[in-house]
Amino acid sequence: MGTNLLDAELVKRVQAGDKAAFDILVQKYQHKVVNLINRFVSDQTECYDIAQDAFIKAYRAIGNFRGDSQFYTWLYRIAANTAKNYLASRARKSPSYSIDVDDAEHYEGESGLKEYTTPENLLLTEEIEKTVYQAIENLPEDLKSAITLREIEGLSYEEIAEVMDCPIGTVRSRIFRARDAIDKELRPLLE
Amino acid sequence: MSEQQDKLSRLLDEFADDEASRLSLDEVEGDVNLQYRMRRYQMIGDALRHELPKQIDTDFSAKVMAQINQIEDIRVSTDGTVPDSGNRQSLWSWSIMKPFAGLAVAASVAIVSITLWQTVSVPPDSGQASEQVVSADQQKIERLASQPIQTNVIPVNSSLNGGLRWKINNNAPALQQKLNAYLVNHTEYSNSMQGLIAQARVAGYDAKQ
Repeated sequence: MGTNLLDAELVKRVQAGDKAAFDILVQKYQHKVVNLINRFVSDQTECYDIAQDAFIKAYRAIGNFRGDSQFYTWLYRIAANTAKNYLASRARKSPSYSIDVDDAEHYEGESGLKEYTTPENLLLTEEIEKTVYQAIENLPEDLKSAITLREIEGLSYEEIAEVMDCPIGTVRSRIFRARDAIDKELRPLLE
Repeated sequence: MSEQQDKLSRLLDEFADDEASRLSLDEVEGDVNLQYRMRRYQMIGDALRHELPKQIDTDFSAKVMAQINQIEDIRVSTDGTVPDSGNRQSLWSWSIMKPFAGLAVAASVAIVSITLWQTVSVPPDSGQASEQVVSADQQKIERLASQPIQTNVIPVNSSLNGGLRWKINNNAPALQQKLNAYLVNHTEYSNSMQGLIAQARVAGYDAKQ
């Protein structure tokens, strides 16, 4: 299986009615999609709402996806268009909600806190990054190099083997051991 | 277990010498622990590339899957064409909307009945006060009728089918330390905390409370 053929296999499964396969795609691309939308919309709450819409649209349209482009390229276009449409409709709409004077003091407004905006969630990104970087620092050099070349530089196993002058099997083993070591540090943070 | 994790790592990188050396998607889909591990492995990559969002919604995929589970199955027919979903979609909409439409009608009838009963039961000499009551209720009815029926609201406490729901471990020492600092700093410098004496401080964050 080559680059992005995993996505192709997942898409095929979704098209055959396997919704769990779509969940794997959501898990894989949710952060990329949210970050993309964040370039259009600054409010994080709205970003997640728009991202949710984008994934739903992608699911509804996935029957028409023919694989002419990579799945993420296709998803990127849907997410970008969803964000642009949201901005356009927001520009057209004037505030339409009205509330009683008696209810006003309890009204959160349309941008009220969502259930995931907790202090823990606000700190989570920072804590995950810090945990991962600290774990990487504690790794032996060969494991650190292998995981860095794979995750940050995006090199294939073959390319890493060439750079590190070692067999592909050794690369595979180093990357797995690096992930496992970092995962041990990350797991206590997330139940 | 270690061999399975090794295979999962290879699946993630789409590397395999052969089919047997790689974890199959069937195995991943059938094992929620493997899914969580896969997601953590992906998160490691996201963190290294600084691709994590500023704020993480730990329930995001669960919310998406909850909505998707309300959608009819996507099927691609053997000749490669997608069945016309237009009629199916409108049928789905009506079949889901029907009970809600019924409830909305019943609610409107109930409110109108109560309003009429109040009007009839009000003493004849209450005059202007009763007219104000009817007027206020009428406004409420009109507002209720004009509100669109929401069919995709996901309550916070609903049990969501499919999708991973992460729970942050509040007892993680590093996180507790940060939360304590967050709360103390916030109360110390906040000028808008109503009802809180300026000299008072929040002692700390106790995850067990």
